[in-house]
Amino acid sequence: MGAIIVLTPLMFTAWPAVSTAIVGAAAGMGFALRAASAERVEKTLRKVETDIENSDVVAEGMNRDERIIVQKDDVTIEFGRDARGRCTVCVIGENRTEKELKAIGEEIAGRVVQQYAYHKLVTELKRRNFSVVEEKVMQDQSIQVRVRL
Amino acid sequence: MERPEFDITISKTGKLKIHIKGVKGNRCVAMADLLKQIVGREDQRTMTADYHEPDIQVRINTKVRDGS
Repeated sequence: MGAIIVLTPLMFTAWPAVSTAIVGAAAGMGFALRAASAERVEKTLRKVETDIENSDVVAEGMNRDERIIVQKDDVTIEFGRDARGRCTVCVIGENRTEKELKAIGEEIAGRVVQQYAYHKLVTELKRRNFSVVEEKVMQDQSIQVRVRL
Repeated sequence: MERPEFDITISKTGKLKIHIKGVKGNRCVAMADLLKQIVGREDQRTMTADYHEPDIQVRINTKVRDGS
């Protein structure tokens, strides 16, 4: 019936597009936005840092040291951009093991990429006169979309 | 008339699998290239049965001779 292709998204984009994906992913996992504060993370809190693979974020549209902070129960996640342009994910928790925090970080990083890929693809296809005829979120949290010209 | 259709699955890790339907031959390749250009990196491509069907159009001209 044509072709089947498997693609890996490359998140080479400006910060506003990334922040939209972050907010969408966080909301989908039950995290709420929290205002950034000047408080430093207490040294007693456990922290795991990672970055999103295949990301290269342009600082345009981003304030210096801007971060997006989301929180759910005792877990706080801070998203930012490092000097190399990678999107960073810092997961902080008081009552969690390092393994749990790492798993949370990996999951939300994947969801950010998912949101980014979804919006990028649907926007570009609509620009080319495709219409979305069906879309749903599956039990395994994958997104299925059918588009037609 | 061809009506391209894509069945897109985006996993929770961000990986995409796209089934391109309704296009044949080189148009199918063009669609796959377009999707790769939009998303980023192609990891795998499998052409299916329709790809091998020709995408040429055939036009038949007929002339009717007036016998009178």
